[in-house]
Amino acid sequence: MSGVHKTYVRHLAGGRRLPVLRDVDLAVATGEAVVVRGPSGSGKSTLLACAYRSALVDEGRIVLGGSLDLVAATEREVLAARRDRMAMATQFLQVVPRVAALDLVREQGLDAESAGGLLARLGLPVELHDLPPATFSGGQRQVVNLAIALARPRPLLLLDEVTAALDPARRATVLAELAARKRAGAAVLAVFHDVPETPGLVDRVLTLRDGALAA
Amino acid sequence: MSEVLRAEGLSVRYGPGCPACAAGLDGSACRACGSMWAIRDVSLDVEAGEVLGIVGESGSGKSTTLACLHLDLVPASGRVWLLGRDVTGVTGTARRRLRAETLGIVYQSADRSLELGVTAGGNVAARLFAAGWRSYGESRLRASELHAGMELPEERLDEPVERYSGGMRQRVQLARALATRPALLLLDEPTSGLDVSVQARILDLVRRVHRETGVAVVVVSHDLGVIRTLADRLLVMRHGRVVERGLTDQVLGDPQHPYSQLLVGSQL
Repeated sequence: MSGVHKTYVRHLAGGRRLPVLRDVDLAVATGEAVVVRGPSGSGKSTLLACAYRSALVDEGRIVLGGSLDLVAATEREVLAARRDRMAMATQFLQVVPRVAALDLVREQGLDAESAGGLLARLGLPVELHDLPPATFSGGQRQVVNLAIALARPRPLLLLDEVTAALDPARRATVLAELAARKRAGAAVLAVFHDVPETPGLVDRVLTLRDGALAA
Repeated sequence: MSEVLRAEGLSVRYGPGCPACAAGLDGSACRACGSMWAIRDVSLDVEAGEVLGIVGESGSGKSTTLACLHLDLVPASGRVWLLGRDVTGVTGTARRRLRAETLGIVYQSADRSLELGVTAGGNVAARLFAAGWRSYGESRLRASELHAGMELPEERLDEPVERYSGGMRQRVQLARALATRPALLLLDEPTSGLDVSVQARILDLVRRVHRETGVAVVVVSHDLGVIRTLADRLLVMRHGRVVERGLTDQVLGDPQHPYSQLLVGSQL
């Protein structure tokens, strides 16, 4: 992304303007993991949301894989890119009524065995796989969310505090999986409050302060 | 992906219209001629396998838009294409045929699509006959297959719909809507008025049907949870106009229009 500016305009508060991102330049290469950190409210989640087109930028360019202009892309082009080229996992799971954790992962096109294997590898106990995540703990939901994002091998992973609700052992498991995805060639752009110390995972750490990026 | 539905510039007006209101109103009647514009310049398109959501408050024109798509209303201006064919203003037998073969609809209130005094199986079979099915045996088989597919108890197939609960009636409506494997499914507040557990199961059923059949869906709801669960793309309507459109997560997460912000900010 280059020259990205984003301001939230709160029409219900008299049109108050809340600038979040100022002139952000950022590139993540294949097989590279970049971590963005910064104080709460510094714009970290918005940065990821803009890259996923969950939020609209005021100015600037965001290009995926050197070819898709995500700012100008049609809704259908973005949906197709989300299917095949980029995934986003946030710290919150959007719960779908009555659908089992395993089926949520299978909906990404996996067979039951691979879906179950992925959930287990990320640390979700097998006895929970056929239950809907509505009643799961925060950490368990986070694991389901991540499994959905990792189900297909997509070249860009956008991760927003995906280990925030996990205990240290589960966190290590998840980070090891992310390191494996990176080795397999995925580009990772991740927001972490505490930068992971997993060997071979993080290549660069950038700090976002008041919407501006610094190394 | 192939286009299933396209609508361009749909406007529906109640009353004669005049130069004063042709320019635009804010949801109220025209002071000069008394006309009401139910919808104004609404355009949308849906491809196979897509779900398009329409949200807005009561009176925003959501259901009127859907009525145009279901060919219940002929718009004052604008056109509707179904599977590439211009069907604007189609009436009579041609319309019956189109509806029976191409369109399925589920309303908030079951009595708009079902004969409540008729059995569940009979309601589904009636639609098959309307689409030209002749064999009683085959229609019965299809009705019973759909009944089971909608997770309705087999032994109640021959029970009149008036004895069914609200959630079960929605399932019968869905069975009827899907009977002829239509290309487009229209859902008009399909879960409003149901209690939350029933609502969740109906939404789950709709998701499953969509995944299994790839039917294109337009869902109208004032409930953002319903839209978030079902729709890929979203239109926000107010005073008969589309005020915002985009990817569902973007419109709900980063709404741009003041009204969209109000809508998202009002959610419990």
